[in-house]
Amino acid sequence: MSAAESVTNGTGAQLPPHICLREDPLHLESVIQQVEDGSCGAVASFMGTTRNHSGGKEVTALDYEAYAPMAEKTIAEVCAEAQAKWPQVRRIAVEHKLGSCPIGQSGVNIAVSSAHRADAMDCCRYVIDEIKARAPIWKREIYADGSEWRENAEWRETIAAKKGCGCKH
Amino acid sequence: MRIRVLLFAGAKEAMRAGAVDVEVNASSADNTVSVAELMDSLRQTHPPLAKVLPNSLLAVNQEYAEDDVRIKEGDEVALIPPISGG
Repeated sequence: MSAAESVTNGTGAQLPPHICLREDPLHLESVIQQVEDGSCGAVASFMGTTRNHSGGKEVTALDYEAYAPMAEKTIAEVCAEAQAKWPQVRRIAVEHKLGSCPIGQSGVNIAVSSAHRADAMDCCRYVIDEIKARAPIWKREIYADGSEWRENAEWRETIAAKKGCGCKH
Repeated sequence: MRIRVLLFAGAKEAMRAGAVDVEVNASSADNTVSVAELMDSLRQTHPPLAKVLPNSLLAVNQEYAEDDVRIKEGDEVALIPPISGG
């Protein structure tokens, strides 16, 4: 499709995703700037932020660790699936924090641009849900009196799909 | 055959190491070992991992692997305990 045709029918070609795992604090503007595009009428975004409580305990911070090359590869696969499901999506940007993440700060930021809002919002939801189920990233919750590695509920489905059942062997 | 297994999060803490080397009996036919066999060897040779193994998967060359996937020398193998990103 030529640039002129692209403008006429209101859609641009899909762009490769922006994927970044980083130690420094995340800022939403960073992912939004990555996806903004004149052909898009919608940018949907999601921030996953550190909550000050979990399971009745006071949380003081989170600590993120990743198997970085596989995490980036997995997130790229999720983005490719999402772009196949929502062809009108122009670009997806994902940034994930590594290391310490204080209360209120973002552990994951996602932005999706599309011609229309429904595709951008649905795609954004899909990307965060699949990252939580599949990306090899771990968070340790830090409490006043200790710490604990957490487990996403979605991991059970990933295990069941690979091991054939969700039970403990 | 000796296979290096990368460790993360709770598994890394349990072993106090970022990786462990596991000696396995490879199949004489093609010098490979299955994911299930490597998991069994890990359980037997590294008792501190016993608690985390039932809820973990192995990744082979950065893909989650089912029990019957064959691992060969030089593959990148990682133990993936329950994830919690996002």
